[in-house]
Amino acid sequence: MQDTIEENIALMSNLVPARIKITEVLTLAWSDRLKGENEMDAHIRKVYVPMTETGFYILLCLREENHGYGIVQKVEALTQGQIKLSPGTMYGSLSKMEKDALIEFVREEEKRKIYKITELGTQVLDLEMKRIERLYRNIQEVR
Amino acid sequence: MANNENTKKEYKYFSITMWKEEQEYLRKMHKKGWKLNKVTGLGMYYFDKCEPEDVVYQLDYNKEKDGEKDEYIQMFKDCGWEYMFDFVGYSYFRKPASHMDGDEEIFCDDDSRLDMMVRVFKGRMVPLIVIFCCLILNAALQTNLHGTFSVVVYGMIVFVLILYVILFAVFGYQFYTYYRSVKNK
Repeated sequence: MQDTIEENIALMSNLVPARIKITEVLTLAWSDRLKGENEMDAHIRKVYVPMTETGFYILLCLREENHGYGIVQKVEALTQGQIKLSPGTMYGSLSKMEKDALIEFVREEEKRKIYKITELGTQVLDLEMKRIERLYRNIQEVR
Repeated sequence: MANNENTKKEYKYFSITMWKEEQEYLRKMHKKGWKLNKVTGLGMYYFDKCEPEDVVYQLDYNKEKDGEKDEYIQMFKDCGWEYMFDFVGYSYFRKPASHMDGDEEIFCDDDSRLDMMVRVFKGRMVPLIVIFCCLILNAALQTNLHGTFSVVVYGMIVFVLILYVILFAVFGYQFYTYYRSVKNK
């Protein structure tokens, strides 16, 4: 009896610091997360996290300079023709993302506007990639 | 101008929210061998005789393109859409169904379809609402200036007011129906 109580106390004293450590880590992680999210505008988060498939492919492709139709072709190749982006959607998304400073206009070539992803765009894409990776991991777990 | 064997004109009314119906009408006409040439006034559609063909017509409403119309048209052209003209803020495009795999539209997701609805709403409904408010303001000012105003003027204002409320209700309902149709597809 005495032994088990002592064992328990010993166990608890071992556990307590460990628990503090965990909460400390959690608080730190949480505040970091809050900081990161606060830096990103509420509007951006609302519209782009999560974002549409079109939006995702635009950001993914614009890590290299490209124009709207270039993105359409690239996405078609990437998805073996399964996703064919339409010009109205493409035009609307590009102007919206440029306004929200996720992408920026670089130059014009033969009436085609060439864009590139911005720092903010890269951050948003990163968040979205992590979210999709999490989804993918969870799918693998239930398979 | 009378219809002859090579041209045809038809009056057709489509309200602010009925671009889908308009697209279907134009596609049907082309199937019958009448391709759209131009639209004028309150909805006079001019057609030229052609070989009957299944051609998909699409309307976009986007004020962002102002100042970079060439770039706007180029993107549609690259994707195989022929740009025809602009009419009351709408851009008209068409593409033969034989050049598509399955039915194609100029929008490929619901977000962009609803974005277009919002643009139409802002571009065409908001001006109506502003005019409506000006009318009421004007009526209020008139009463203040003259103290009283005649039954005729009063009657007219009430009439316009009722007309506007009905119009708003109808358009509001049509926007809502379109919204539902996109969401439930």
